Amino acid sequence: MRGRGSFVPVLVLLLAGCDALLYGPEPAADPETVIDLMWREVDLHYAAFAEKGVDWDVVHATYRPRVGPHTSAVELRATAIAMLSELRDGHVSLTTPQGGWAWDGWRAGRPENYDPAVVRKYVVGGLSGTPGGRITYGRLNGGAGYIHIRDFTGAGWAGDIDRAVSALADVPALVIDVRGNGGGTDNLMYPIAGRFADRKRHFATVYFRDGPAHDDFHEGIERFIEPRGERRFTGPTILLTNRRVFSTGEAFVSALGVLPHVTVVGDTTGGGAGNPINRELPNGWSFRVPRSKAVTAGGLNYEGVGLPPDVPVQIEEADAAAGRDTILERALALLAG
Amino acid sequence: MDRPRLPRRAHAHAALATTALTVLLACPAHLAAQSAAGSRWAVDAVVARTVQSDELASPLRYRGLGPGVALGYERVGPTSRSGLQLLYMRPSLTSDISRGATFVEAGHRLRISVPHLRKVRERQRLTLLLGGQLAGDAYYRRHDYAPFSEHYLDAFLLLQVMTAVEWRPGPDLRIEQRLAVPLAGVAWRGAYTGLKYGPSARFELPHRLQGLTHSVGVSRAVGSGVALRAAHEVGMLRHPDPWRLAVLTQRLSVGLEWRRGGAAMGPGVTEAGR
Repeated sequence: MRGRGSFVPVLVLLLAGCDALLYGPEPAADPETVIDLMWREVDLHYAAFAEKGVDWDVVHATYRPRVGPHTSAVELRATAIAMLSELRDGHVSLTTPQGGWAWDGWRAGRPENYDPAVVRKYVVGGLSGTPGGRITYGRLNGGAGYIHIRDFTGAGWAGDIDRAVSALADVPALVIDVRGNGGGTDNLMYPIAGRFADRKRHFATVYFRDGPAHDDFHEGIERFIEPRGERRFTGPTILLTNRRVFSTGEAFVSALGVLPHVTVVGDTTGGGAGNPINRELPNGWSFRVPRSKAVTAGGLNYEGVGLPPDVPVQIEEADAAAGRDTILERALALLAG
Repeated sequence: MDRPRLPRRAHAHAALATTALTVLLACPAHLAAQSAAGSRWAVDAVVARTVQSDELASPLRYRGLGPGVALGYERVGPTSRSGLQLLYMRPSLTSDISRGATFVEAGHRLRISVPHLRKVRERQRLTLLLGGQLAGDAYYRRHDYAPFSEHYLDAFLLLQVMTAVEWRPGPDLRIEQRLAVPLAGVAWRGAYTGLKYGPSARFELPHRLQGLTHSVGVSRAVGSGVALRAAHEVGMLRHPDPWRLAVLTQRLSVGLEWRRGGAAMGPGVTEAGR
């Protein structure tokens, strides 16, 4: 029975010591560690330092001295927001018990260029909606169909677009309105965009950070729009955009933008191409930072600048006050002309 | 930008090691047959403690307990053992910042292993076995942030070298210790927001896919062909780059074992075996 004892110390050693063997120490939750960790995580993952012209080391040197061991949570949050604001990126956000924050400079001060109540004036017979309310559709004066896609959030509702496409199967032309579409997930965008594709076409290439240097990127991943679904519309189409089209909404615009039967009308989009990842901090805060950037098939890196329309139109204040949607009117004129 | 490729020497090392393992498993055993073949079936209730570091999901460590169940079959021949083991675990993990429904992680983990061992030495009550194991490990996790969530799916296929020492201190008691370390493997990570270059399968050598499994098990016959069993297992899986994932699992299990035929199977197998 002498050998039986040899198992006991082995078991005790395994039970007690394995964590320490495999992992180093966990980060502490003090203010200095928190701000350093946040800076490091952004340094490791953020994809658009070059596009934004941000020297992240300078940002550290500027803001790090404001944080000490006795910095309050409120002060720490303000410093963290100041640091993150330097990125000028609409995908960057911070969540704390004191409240959430997201950089909204990409749309602040820009005209809305969209009022759903005004759009209804151009619709004959009113708008119908899909069960989730994300898609509304109807017929415009002059006979063209109208589909508005509010966002690409949630999951499992991409097939709702078939309801609109089927209802508008007999229209000679279509206006797709994504004004105000702040994005969501690509899993919804692809099948919806595919309802308007004539054939498979490359529309963008996405680059993900994959190393510690700011220019460490994985080889580009080409993205394609291709026909999806049994009912599709490939006739003359106008796509309406404004500054509040962002992220996946912009991916939708860049996808439809390569289709020869689609013309983009309206304002430049918000300019957020990155896929944000969630990060945690040891004091219980979390933040998001995009880890990728995209270049359109035409070679435009639209991070921070947005996708320009084929036909730029702004709704003037006087027109808006008069209840006119001049972007939609230009679309109708293009379809008529 | 291309990923760094494995050096030729590493490929040669993998080929050599795989060949060596194949020869080892295929060659005749040194020991003569002592008894007829038999089989063992087992079912275990499992409690597993997981400690995990996935730097692409969080800079923090997540740990927690979870239940599980294991099923096992082993064919015990005169000079060899081979089998199939299924293990399902349901880990629920938290970190120091977990509160309510935020910053928590829950998942499903399924492990399938196919070990094959040959006797290389037998002396009195001790038997030394050497062989290999093919192990598949699929791990799905949902990580809840505040207020977002992300889904992670990793899968690993490992070719492992395995040693086992079996000790029979009494007619009804069998104690076994097993150690498995990887020779090579294939790692696969599903696409998620932060790592869009998946899903991709990567052939990995031990310096990039580190892992071992060590177990100590005890079984005691409680009737004809039936034994109670208990085991402790430590499993470590680490993919340092680019995934920066490390998962340490300690598993305690208790269960029943049913045995059919074969005097070489140890206690409680057959009357002849006693």
